[in-house]
Amino acid sequence: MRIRSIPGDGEHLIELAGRFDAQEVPEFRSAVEALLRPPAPVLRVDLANVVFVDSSALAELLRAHKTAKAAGGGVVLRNVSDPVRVILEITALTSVFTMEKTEALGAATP
Amino acid sequence: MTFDSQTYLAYRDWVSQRLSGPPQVSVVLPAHNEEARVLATVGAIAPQMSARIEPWELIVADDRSTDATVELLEDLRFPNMTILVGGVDGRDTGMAASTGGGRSSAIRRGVTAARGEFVLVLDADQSALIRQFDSYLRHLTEDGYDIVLGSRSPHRASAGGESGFRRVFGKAVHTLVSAGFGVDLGDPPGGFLLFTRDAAVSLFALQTVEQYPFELQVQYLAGRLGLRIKEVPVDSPDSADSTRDTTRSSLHAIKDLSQIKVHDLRKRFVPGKRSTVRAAVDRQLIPKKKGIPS
Repeated sequence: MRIRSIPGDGEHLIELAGRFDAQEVPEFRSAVEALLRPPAPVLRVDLANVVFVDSSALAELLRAHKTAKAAGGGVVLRNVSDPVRVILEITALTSVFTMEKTEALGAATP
Repeated sequence: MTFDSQTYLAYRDWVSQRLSGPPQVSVVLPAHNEEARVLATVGAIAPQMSARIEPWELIVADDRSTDATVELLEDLRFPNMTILVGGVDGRDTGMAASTGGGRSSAIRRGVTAARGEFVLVLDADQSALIRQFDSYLRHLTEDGYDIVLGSRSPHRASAGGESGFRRVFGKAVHTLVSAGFGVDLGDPPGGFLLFTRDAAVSLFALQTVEQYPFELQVQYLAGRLGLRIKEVPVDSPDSADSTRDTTRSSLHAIKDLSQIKVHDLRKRFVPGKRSTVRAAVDRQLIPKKKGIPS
């Protein structure tokens, strides 16, 4: 999996591409760790080019979301690809995360 | 999200409406204690296959899972997904069973239940391969093959620093196996098999040796039945055995093939005539022994 990190001032963006599975979790964790520090970190995770997530990856996204929420922020999933969207749906996780689309890919929704 | 892609809409149709006719493709997913990834696997397969527009069905053949694999799948209530649970001798017991027949048995139950013109058997950890499905299918529809067998690509082996000895050893094994067993043993199988329905029915009616790797049996029996196999290199990132010792696996293959050959010489493979087998499987029955054709 390729990870591109774009830190901002309290709001950060991580772009992922490829497969996000158990093997990729350590790299993802080390990439986002510094971005989840208080106060109120908001981490946008762009999943437009992610073709698969497994349960370990979902657990890691949840962990990041929990950490960010505890610090007053949260994780926003951006441009979720079709396979990932379906996986989030059938694992009943769509209600946990805020999801959005950028203008280039479709109508933005909170 | 308010933007639904064509792929997503096709998936929603697939999970909302039962197919009105027979599927073009049956995807058979053998599963053994896959609770950690089975939903992700189904989630990866379903939109990809639904986007092809052609009708398809998913058959999950449980192999004696003792975890929540079956319950997780049942909760989905997908109208075009069949879950075959436990059981022996190809019978679906309808309840979790402590017995079964292992992976080969699960696959055979799945293939026997398949209604598609083409049958794809995909390991639960190989869902990434579904993206190449159409390229695999073309070997059946356009090139005249009966079976497409995934195998680990040669470049993966070379990238792993395979030694000169192993390459020579591999060629020696290939020659030996081809001459001795009539099997074109290439790279280690890579987690998927795609059949025409006729080929699948003929082969799986003969699959009676549960303890041997089913891919080897397919290779062996396909040769005996005159079926054409196309071996396709795959470079699946979720291949759990990507570092497998090719020398050891070759030796295992020879040992297994020897046992399969002995099994065949003792005429223990079940029949035969394609039309008979096809009709029997259409009735969800396994035919009686008649002896394999030479």
